[in-house]
Amino acid sequence: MKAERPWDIVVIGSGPAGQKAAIQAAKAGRRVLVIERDARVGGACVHRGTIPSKTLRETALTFSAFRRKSGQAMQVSMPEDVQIAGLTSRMEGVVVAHESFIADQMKRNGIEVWHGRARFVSPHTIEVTSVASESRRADAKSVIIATGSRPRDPGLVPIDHENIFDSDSVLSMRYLPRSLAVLGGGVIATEYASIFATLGVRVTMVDKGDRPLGFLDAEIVERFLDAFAESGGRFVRNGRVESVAFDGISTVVTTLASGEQVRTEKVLCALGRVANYEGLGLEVAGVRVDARGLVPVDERYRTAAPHIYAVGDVIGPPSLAATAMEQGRLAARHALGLGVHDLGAARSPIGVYAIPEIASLGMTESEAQAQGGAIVGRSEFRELARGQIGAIENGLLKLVADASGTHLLGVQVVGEGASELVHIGQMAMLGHLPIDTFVECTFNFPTLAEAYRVAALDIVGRRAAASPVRTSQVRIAG
Amino acid sequence: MLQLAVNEDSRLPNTVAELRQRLTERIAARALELPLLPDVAAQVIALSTSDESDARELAEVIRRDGPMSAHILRLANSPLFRPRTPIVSLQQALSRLGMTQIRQIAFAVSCKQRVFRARGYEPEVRVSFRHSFAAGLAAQELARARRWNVEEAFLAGLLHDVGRPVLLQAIVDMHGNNRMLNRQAVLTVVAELHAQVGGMLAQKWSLPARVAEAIAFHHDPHAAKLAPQLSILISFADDIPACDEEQTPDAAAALLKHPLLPHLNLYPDEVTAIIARRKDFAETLQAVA
Repeated sequence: MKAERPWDIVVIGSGPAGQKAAIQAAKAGRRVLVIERDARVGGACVHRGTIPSKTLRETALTFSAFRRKSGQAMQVSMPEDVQIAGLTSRMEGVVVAHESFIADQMKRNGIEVWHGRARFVSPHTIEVTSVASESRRADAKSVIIATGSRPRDPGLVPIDHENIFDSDSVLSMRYLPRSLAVLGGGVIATEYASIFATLGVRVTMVDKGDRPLGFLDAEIVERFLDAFAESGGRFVRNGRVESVAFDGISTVVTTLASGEQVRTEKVLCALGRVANYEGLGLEVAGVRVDARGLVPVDERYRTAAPHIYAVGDVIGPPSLAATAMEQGRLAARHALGLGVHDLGAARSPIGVYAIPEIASLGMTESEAQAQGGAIVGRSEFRELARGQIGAIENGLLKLVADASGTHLLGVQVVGEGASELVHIGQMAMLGHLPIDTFVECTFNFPTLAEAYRVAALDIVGRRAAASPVRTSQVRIAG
Repeated sequence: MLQLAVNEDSRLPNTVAELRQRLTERIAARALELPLLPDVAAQVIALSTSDESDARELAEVIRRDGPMSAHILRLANSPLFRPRTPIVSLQQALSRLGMTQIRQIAFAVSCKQRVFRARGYEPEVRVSFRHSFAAGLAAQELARARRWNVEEAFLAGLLHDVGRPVLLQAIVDMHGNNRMLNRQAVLTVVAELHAQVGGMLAQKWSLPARVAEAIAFHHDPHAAKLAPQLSILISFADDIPACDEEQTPDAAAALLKHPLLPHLNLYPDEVTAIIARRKDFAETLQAVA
């Protein structure tokens, strides 16, 4: 039998990282195969994560915006027996449209997709076994592992997908519960906690940390917590979960180390994610897995096997779709020997689709202070005309400049439109524009983008106020 | 063609085609008598969607139904739950089994008592109920594996064949237990029409639209519009042999090559793990059926 020509690149997984890796390689004219264990392409992002939760979020947001923006003109309340299915009625349509867009894009670019589980049988050969137990093999010059992650199952939480859910099953609830405990303080926990609170569910969020989203700017996160409390949510700081148990009747009891018992109708366990690599036969390929259960990679996303790359959740945080996409694209370029531009820290913003939205780019205030000082400018959305008109009361944009107040080191935003607004700062950072640019250029009025000018003016003011001090310090030193 | 009747009585259908036509006309004219949702089942559904419900209320509903109470106590004392001391009260049973399980059992038993019955067709209806209950248990485990709604899957699995006893009873009502009716022919027509009638019944009972669709389309799941995945899941659960039946190695292997598995994206090891729980299902079934 004639041996089949090896594939230039085989991508395992068709989530955001895998898609972009495959598209990049195909655009470069290479022969590309994608192996997907699910019947549908798109990965957890499309079917269980980003797209479905954001669709529910959009409904919650509309509901909350209607309440805020209509003043007291109309009384809006959620029917008691509201079905989640009703709230996500657009979800299936959005998911199908997105999946079909991805499938079309792959087809258009000549990418072949095999449905089945992948397993290395040698460093360059992968066996793919279908649901019907039929096997075939693919030889690859390079392999990109983009198999994603799944919710971590911490032993002490008996997840049954009926009363105690994880993030894969939480949207299978047919009715909105009256109360929900969310365990965890990461992106997924924060997003779902705030979405359900906005929908009128009594949410208790429990995290072992002093605040959720520990990697973000503390002031921004506290602002988020204020908004969460306003929508009826409660955050339990330094809450260590001792046990979680369904009482067999109608309540899940979460017992904390402090002795407090949180009694709720349902529980969402969002205590981290674990990389999907079981069954891949990584040991056969010479790919190492570290003690944290992640696939370690170098700056080019190469694993311990030089022709095998790994991207997305399988290599660890930040576990965001946008970052994973970029990692996939870059890995494909490295694998094919194509050039890569180093854009530095401004390459990848972070977007947290909580209510309110949070976005971050570059350094936080504390990081900048620790690295030689910073001048921080703030703009409250409630002081902007657009903020007033749109009843956006809890928004805050922070520009983090260097100690001289001239160069932008980071942008931190909380509030409606944060994930879009952050890109203005991203372009300024990539273009190395001075802070004064925001003061000198014209922004449409009224817009939330005006926050950049207000925050920049704040920096200019602080810079001026700080100058005499600096001058006197120099004089004394001299 | 099967001959149904040999006499000249015009009220008796003469052929399978004629019986089919009579039933189809009744279905189309909405003239087929559909049973009401049993009281206990209705109350159990109401309690399960009410935030204020508690175990005492559920116990009260069940206590009012003697045979139901006996079933629940028998189940609580079955090897499946291995009680250290005998369970003698419904309250004890509730805390032992949990409200979710009791709700399922109560719903299943009340449907068995009030709906899965047709005079003269007792053996067929008994088999049908056992199969339905087993399909409900399998469906909920399949749903759990796919991270889909578990309660909805159980309900759709339990009721997927509910059209069979309803049609049999309708035929008995139309023609009595006339011996001239060819039993096999009756069962043939019932097999053809039961999914449609089951879907109608679920609508009449105001069950969720997704459940009604999965029942109506369990023999043609790809035609389902609202809940195609649930319909596929129920269709597959329908093909899992009843848990108290012997499963030959060939049948087990064939199940792992089932054409619907790619649509459910369940790999052989995942299906095997679910099928391996048939013994648990059988014990539950024994207590209920």
